[in-house]
Amino acid sequence: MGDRDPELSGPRRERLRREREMVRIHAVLAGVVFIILFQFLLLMVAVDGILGGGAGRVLPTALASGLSFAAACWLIGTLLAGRAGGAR
Amino acid sequence: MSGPAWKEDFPVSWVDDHYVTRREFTKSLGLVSCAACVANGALLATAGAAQPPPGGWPRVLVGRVSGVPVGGSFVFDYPAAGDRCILLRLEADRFAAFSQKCTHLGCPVLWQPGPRRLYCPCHEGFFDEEGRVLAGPPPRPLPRIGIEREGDDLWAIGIRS
Repeated sequence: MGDRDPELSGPRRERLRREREMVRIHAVLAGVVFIILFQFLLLMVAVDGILGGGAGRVLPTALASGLSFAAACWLIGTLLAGRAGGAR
Repeated sequence: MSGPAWKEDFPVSWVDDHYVTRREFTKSLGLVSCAACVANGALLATAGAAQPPPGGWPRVLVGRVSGVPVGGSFVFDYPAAGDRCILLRLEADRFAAFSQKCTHLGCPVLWQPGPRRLYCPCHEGFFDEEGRVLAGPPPRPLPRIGIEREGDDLWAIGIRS
């Protein structure tokens, strides 16, 4: 691993670690935003189902939305836990 | 010398006061996700309310045959108070009843005895006397209310989509 390279000086190693951490944070944020967009899509499908007489679509979309919310919570939890751990 | 005295009393700048940290933004994303989930759950509850109750549709006396002229109509509530429906007397002993909510955006439809059609004044939607869409934006027929005649009494017995 590059950050364990003995030739890297302390500040360079720290900068590399921070850059990797930022990549991870931005990836998680992008994932959460994607999940939220997916949930809005599910909401539109559910509304369309109710207005269009296809109420059978509402239960699967509600379940999928719940799972998406759980996934978003997990992602946010790992992010916040990781940052808390990084601050020690 | 530094700026005015109020800057020393209130040293926090407007920009700093409204600064949103990435942590706060992340938490707000979680709240948005929660709101979308709750909205989907609320839709599920709404959809459940449109299904027949566990004991089946209620049987409700909605009016008298003698109370409506041939070609006429009247409005009643079914299955619950506030769920407006419209009953049509098409011939002496031929009746039809529909939900009064237009399938486009829920405006009440009105009976036009001359052309014998139901009319939604909000967006010019038209339905025939069987509830089928004739013209306009409504995407599907009106839900039909089952009507049973017993002597002079008219009973609503269920909803057929």
